[in-house]
Amino acid sequence: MSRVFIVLIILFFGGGTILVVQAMKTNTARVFTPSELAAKAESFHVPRARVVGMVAPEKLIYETEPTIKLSFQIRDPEGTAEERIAVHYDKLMPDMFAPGRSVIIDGAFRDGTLYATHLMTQCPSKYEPPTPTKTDAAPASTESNIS
Amino acid sequence: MNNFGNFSLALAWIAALIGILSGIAGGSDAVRNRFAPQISHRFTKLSLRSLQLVTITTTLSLLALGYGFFTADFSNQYIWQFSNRDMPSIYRVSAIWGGMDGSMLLWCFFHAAGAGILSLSHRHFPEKIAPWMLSWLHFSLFFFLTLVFLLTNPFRSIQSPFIPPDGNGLNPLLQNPYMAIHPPMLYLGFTTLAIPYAFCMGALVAKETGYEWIRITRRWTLTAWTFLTLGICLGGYWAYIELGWGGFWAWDPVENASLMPWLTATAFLHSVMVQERKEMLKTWNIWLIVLSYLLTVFGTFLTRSGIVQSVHAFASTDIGEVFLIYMGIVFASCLVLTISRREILRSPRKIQSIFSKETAFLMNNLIFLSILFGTFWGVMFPVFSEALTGEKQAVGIPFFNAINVPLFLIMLFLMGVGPLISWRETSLKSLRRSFLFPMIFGLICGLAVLWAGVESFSAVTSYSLTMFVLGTLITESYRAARTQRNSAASQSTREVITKTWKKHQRRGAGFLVHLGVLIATIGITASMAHKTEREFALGPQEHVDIGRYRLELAQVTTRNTSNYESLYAHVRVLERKDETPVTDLFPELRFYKKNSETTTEVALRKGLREDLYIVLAGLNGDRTKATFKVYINPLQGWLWLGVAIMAFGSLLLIGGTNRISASGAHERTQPEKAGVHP
Repeated sequence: MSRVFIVLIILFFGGGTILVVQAMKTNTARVFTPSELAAKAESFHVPRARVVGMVAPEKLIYETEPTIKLSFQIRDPEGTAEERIAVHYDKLMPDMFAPGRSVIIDGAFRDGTLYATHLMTQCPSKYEPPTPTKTDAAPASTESNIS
Repeated sequence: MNNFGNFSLALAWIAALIGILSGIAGGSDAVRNRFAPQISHRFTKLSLRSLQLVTITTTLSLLALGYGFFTADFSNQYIWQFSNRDMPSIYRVSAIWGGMDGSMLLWCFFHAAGAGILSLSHRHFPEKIAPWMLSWLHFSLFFFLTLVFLLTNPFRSIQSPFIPPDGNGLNPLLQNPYMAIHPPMLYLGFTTLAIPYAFCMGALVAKETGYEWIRITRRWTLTAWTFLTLGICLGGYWAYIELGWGGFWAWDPVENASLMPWLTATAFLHSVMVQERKEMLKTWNIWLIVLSYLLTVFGTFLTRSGIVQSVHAFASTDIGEVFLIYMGIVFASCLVLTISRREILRSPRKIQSIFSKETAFLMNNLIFLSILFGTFWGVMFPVFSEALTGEKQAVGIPFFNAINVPLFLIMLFLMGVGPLISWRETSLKSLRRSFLFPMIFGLICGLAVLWAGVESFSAVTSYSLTMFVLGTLITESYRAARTQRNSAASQSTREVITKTWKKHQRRGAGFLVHLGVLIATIGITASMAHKTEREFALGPQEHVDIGRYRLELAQVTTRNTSNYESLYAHVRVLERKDETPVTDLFPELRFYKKNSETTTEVALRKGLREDLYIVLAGLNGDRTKATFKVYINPLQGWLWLGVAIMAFGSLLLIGGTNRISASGAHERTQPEKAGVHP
């Protein structure tokens, strides 16, 4: 039994490792923040990048004619960095996409622009308010509700 | 009500603490030897009663929060944040788990409710295991109650000098019936897994891993498995009808977190049969159960600690470390226990042949674990890569598909082999006899699919293997029926079928689950491999042809409600060839005023053959044309149908007999003395 068992395990985990390595070769993306990308030189290329950023309110353009085109800028979701990078996306604007929203983008970065292949909006009110801390959030928004 | 809820929570917390201690006292030999056995029983009884107290108080606490939502009590921070006055009642209920604090309380509630239901059958508990089991269960409850009470308390008052007149409201995406159902269903599955886990740990401490243990663990794992299966599927269904990207599964960390315990639980449900029959793989099974439980805790940790980026924005909170410590304790305890109990876990038998059911089950388990590790690796890759190389990297959907599709195909093959191969050893001759028909059946179907023009290798393999497995199910059922028919003369066909079913009920229910898997597999394969995706702009009365449909835009209107403004399109769906009307669909694009969010309302025509899925993307610049995105997903409905059959089969297994069909394996093991004595 033990020999069969060992051979099987080696086969499986050997095979599994090969599978993982193969899948990783073509499918990993480096993770950046918008300010990190903005700080890179113009010539910086990454074929596969993942960026988490906040949608800036300015320069947001969504066209559906002749083809669907969404372009906008993102900045760091947290912190004070003001650097922005431009994003181009040629698919449907995802649900809940709005200025101030945090988005996860997969795509290629070249010529200072992120060409997105996948764009996902983070689902904001599911677990925490978008503002940093709860106790700060409550009175501030309360006032805006009244006015 | 806030104080009442908080008070109930505190009471539950204390009761859980008492339950841990009295459970230990009830099980410990020191108490038994020093005092009378009656004292031990009293302690066990005390632990049982505190378990019921935890159930009651946790329920009250949840009711208090629900009451707060219904009475719009905005003095409560949590209620203010996740509801407002114009919300319909059903979403007031679902808002309870709309945020982290409430979802953790709901978790506690299900955990405690499961424990309460379990406590009703205390007379059937194996006597030695009971106190330790109770103690471990209390420990798990204690951990979650501590979290809720101290770190994510939903009864906090609002930090404001006055009570706000209206609340913040719930995210519109969450205002969907399936969003209201699927998290509770998943939580039910997660928390139910704590029961077999507690039995496992209790049995290890008490050094009892006999048949009673298997019977109870198996039944509760099946229950948890059913909830998990339904919960995962409802989550996918929600994503499908609500998110508007035409798919149902995106390998998001949150989805993976629910899949991982499902994988280990499924593996356990298979390998426990080897233990039932052959008393092998005891340690392995214990680890599978403990791992399933740990993965549910890990899932909660993953989705709430913010260590990986997910579509669901879980803010980084400080509860991560607490989770890690707890998981460490559970893991270490199980490690110490399995090592110190290795004598009773040792198997009297060994696997004799590679062509045996034992090996097939073992391979099945290894595949499930490989899928688990692949998924785990993908989820945790950003963390690992940053720790190892300092450069953060991530993997996306293609990675998970690249790994899991081939593994799943191997699993399909094993699904055909497992039920037909015999225990211990199978001769080549009987292998040939069993598999000749299914193999040919699968091959013919594979060729037919190829001939029909399917090019994707994995799709062809998937169809072919599905048919192979179907062939084995048919062969095996036919064989059982034939044996029944030959056993007595002059039976009607109906008699033969009912008698065969009665005799092999458990096996038959298992087959039903497998049949569900096959149907779901066909649905997944077809909707992935043959999806049609088109994007176009239409003016009024213009049309476009897609698949067998002609889509004609009747008109686009705007609507204005108190909650949102929307674009509302009327699309006529006609048959392409003769222009007979099929249906009218109304995709919508909503703009919520309050938080300036845009959401799409998908228009969907469901059918067994295919789903027609229309999303309205928007108007063009001069507002003369509307842009649509259309998906045609063939056989999509089969996925939901298949999962429903899986759940039904699983219910039959839970309700059915525990005997393994025909020979009955464990009569030789004496049932242990059972019951917590009053």
